[in-house]
Amino acid sequence: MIKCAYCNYSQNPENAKFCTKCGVGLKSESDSVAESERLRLLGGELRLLTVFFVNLTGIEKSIRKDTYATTKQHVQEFLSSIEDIVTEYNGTFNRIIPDFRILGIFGAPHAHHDDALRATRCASRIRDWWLERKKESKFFKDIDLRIGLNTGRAFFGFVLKESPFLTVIGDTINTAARLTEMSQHSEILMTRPTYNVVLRHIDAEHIGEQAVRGKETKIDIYRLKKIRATPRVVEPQRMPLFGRESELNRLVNLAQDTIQEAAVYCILNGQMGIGKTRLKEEFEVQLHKNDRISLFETNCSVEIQSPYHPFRAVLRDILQLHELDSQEITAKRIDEMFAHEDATRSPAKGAKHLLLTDIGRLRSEEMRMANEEIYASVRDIIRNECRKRPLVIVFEEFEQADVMSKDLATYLMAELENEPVMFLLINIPKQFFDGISVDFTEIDLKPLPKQHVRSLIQHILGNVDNDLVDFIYREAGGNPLFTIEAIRNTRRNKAINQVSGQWHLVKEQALVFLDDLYGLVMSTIDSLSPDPRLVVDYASVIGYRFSLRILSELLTRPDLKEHLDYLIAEGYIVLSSDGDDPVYIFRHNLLKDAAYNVLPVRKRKEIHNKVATLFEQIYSDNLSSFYEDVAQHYLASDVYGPATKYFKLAGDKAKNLYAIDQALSFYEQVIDITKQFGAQLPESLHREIMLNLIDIYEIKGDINKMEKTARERLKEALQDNDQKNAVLFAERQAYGLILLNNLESAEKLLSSNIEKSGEQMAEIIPVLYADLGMLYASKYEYDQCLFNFNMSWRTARANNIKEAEIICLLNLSKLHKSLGNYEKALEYLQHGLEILIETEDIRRNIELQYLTASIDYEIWNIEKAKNVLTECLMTADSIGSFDAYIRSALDLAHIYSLNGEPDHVNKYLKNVDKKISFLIRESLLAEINLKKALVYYNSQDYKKANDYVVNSMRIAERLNQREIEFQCYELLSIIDENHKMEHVRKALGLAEQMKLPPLIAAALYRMTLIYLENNDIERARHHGRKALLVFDDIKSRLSNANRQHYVKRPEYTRLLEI
Amino acid sequence: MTCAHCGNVTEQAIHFCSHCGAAIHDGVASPFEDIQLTFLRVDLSGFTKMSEAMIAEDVMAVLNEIFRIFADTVESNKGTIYQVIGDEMVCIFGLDTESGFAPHMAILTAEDMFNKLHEFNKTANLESPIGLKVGAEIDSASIFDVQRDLRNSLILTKGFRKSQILQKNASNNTILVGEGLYKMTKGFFSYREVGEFVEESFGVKAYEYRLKLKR
Repeated sequence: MIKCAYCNYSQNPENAKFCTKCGVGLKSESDSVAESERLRLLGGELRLLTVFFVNLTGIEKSIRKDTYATTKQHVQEFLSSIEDIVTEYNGTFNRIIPDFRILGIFGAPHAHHDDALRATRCASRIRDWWLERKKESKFFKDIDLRIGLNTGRAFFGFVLKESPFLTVIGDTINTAARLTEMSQHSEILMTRPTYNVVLRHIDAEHIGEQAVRGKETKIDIYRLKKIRATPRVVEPQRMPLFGRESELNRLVNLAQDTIQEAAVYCILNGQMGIGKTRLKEEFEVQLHKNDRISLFETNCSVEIQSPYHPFRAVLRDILQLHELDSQEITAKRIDEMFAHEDATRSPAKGAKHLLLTDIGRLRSEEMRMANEEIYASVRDIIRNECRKRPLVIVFEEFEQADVMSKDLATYLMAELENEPVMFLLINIPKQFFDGISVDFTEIDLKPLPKQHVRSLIQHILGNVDNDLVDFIYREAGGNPLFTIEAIRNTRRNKAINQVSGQWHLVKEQALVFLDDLYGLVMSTIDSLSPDPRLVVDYASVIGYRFSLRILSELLTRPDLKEHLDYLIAEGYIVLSSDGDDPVYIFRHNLLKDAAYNVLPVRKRKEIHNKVATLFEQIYSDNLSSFYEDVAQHYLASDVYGPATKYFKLAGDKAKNLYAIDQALSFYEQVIDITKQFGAQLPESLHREIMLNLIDIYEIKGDINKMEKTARERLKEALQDNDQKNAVLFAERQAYGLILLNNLESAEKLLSSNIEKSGEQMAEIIPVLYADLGMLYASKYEYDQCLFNFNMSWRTARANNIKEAEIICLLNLSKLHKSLGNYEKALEYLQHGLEILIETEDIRRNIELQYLTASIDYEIWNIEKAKNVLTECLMTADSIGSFDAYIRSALDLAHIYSLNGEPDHVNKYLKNVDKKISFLIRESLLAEINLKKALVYYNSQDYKKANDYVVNSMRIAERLNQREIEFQCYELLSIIDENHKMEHVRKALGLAEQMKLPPLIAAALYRMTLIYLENNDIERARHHGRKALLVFDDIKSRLSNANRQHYVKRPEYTRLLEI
Repeated sequence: MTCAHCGNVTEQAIHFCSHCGAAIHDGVASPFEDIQLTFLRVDLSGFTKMSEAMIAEDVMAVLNEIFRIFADTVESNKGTIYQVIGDEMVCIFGLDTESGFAPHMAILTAEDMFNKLHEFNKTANLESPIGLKVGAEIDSASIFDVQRDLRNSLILTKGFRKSQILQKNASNNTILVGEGLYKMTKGFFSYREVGEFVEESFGVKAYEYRLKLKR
């Protein structure tokens, strides 16, 4: 039985939706929670909304006692049908029954980039429904429907908390209400603010300004005629394409034919004005005619580089997101888009890293992981997209793309080489392809020959004499942009004139402005009339790309949109994305730079400051996408406090995207500003930056700088009695000292800080113990090492720090593996896989699985190792885990090389080479080279084996990777005929120094074989017995089942023979 | 017992269907048909203009506070808030048969609102005081899909339209009532005849209630 919260009647049946005593709806607990949560979130917001009222007028007259039932039925039908339509367009509705009205709300609680258009389409659909219904029903014969739309800011929220009503208040709503009252005979009226946003998508009649009740000023009204099937496009007045037919055909062929066979990578280069953009535009026109090909374009020009900017734009396009959509909408869209995917391998994760911003302090492992997820996501999303329809992605000004984007592009080109995808990279030297093993096509645009220049001149001027053509060809040198500007300029300055319908040269005078690009561009801008020129001036301060909302707040002019359309038509700017807040881009970067540079500095600063604050106000729910821009605008307006704050945030953002160099430059910018301009940076912010910088130095391998910075900051924190940061800096300094092999100082520092760390610093204690464990491992003091790893695990468990627990578990199992305690190592891994790690945490699962496989290999359970490695390899590829993929592939290649299966070996080696990119950390390189050397040795390619082992040795020595060094000597003792004994002695020396039984056994075994080769039987037996003792000791620690495998190890059986 | 509205069958003797919420009279679902209700429409004057200079949180806080005061007043006079439309509140009196003098209670509610708003204006420290425009009328109505809180019920009546015309034509801080309400309550309260307002061939005779404000 359910109890009614309203009347307390408790005899309602279990499935009752309404109270049987008082009739109140019975809400479930979850509904109430959801509602209160929603109310908490919504309570009172000022929103940009597009609203309309739908009024049903004349219905009161039909309300009589004898018509109640029919009227009720029709009114109900009317209300629910309208509400269904509003819902269909993702709007919110408010039923106003007393007045037979419905208020449609677009823009709250969830905003969309095209709310005004949605509202207009929805209103039009309601009218269509109404006209149909009116025809069918006698009841509606004398009833009229009226609709009025308006766009503007209004308060949206809920009143009366106990029994809430959705309410929207503001002049925007009142104006819509008044407008609706003015509408007649099923017409839809809209105000100018709404019209301005949707004008390209509709046909409307301008009624003019009208006075309305309750408003002092008149409102400008439009009557909607129809929604256009395709939006009206402001077409640039493009010249025909002269002299580029062959290049165009080549591009079209690549996109339409070659792409069917394999991926196409093409670069398009040439000097400014030579026609790259024009050729690209014509290529895009051709692609648009072919609906079998999808096209996405991204412009890489930005004032200040933001990691992955071009790919973020492409991803947004594919996910149908507007570039100014809020983080909330973006997250929702990503979830919707990948709802059907397996959550553990969904591209959603990487897409979220890329499009949503995380500025928390991530450790280097987490950063790497996030970045790998980005790589896998972008690859999978593009692959899925191009498998639906061949896909062309155009990267404008690719040279200006950030380094992360260039690396990602490199990776994608290797990964997608068999997919129907084309990358057109505009403006990038062909050296970009050095080191990438994919084919590419280069199109280098040369100046036009004279006959094409003549055609171009004739197209603009009509009939011209030869002298004029010669003159312009000489001055502009076959560059189309220079040619056009030369014609404009000579005509403006009356250096040419028209006589009897033919243009002649009046006087031959060198066109000096063509001597440099800046002069040319200035000439182009100067030809604008004052109003559009002013628009260009202001837009140039916002940046290469600028949104209408920011520009319209800077320049409050009713005709702004017309000027922008004019600038599009004249080829100064292009519309990058449409919607309620269109975004424009300068067609040429130099145009923007030239306009910006001639603005008075004071004016520029003033505009920069306004732009920064407008970003904060207008895009507050998506500000993290613009941290770099806001920082730059504040810096350019000499407002240093906010500039440092935003540069710091931009640094955090870049760091978490693994854009280490960019993060470093943002943080250094903060430090420079504080030093140069004395901007006050809060101490907490300063220490956060320092911690992040220390992490960056570690990732970059600059350990000396890492240690020095941590030491200095530790001193400062201690002086300020900032205990928490002092411990954090101490940990970093100690870690640096361990890496620098200054173990004694590190030990002191760690021990003293473990004592200092109280309960409030619980999260750092497991890290300090883990560092100590690592330190003792470096000193080969394994008991101490085990003790500290165990302490780390215990403190992590006590404080419920799962990630630290997992790291401890990995450390412990690796250590036991090195010591030959394989069962113990497997036990830890088993615990991790079965209890500690969530099934969804695929990355950690593979890491542990891989380790299990490597132990299986040591035990000589080869079949099991092979199966697990194959699974690891596939999973690692699907989630984009580079380390796990490369290690698994190399181990598989190794196993197949032992069995003499060269096809498999080559396949895995090839796959590994494709994955090796900048993301591979240096510490893995020695291991990769060693494993390759082993594979080549087994495949009897001794030359390659030697090269790789030497390389591996060099890196391992530098990075103090002793176990790898040992394996290198071991392999050299086989390959290097002349120095066999020398190498094996070094190997044995290292093994004894490290006190690792499996290595000692391996070195003794090698030595035994060498003595055998030298016919020194006695020594061979002596060392063989010693080796067998160690092998037996390891064997004794194994389970019965595993012993059965272990005794089949070739070394073991051979030793028994000896 | 079978609900005539949705066909839901229940063995209990009930007042409302547990499945669709329809009222059940004598075992069959039926609307409240042709009952006399008093409609009160109260609009805050000057609020929208004032709100444009305020931040969103303050606007909603002020509106919530005023409507909370009004809601208490309505409830204590046995009325029901039917809807809130922006800064307008639509109330109904007479739904609860135990309330007795519903039309009179509606007038007293409006008067009480004026007094409480006056108190609010004195303490709220607003740029300019908020006013009220009130329209009220009694008329016959039918209510469908009834639930006690009325929110989702459809009410068919001319009373809403009449009280809306009266409210729209009321000057600031006045109460205009229609002819029906005037006739029902003139023995208790004093009125001044104002004349007839016609909107789209819908005419309403109006009387201004003589407010007795506590100052």
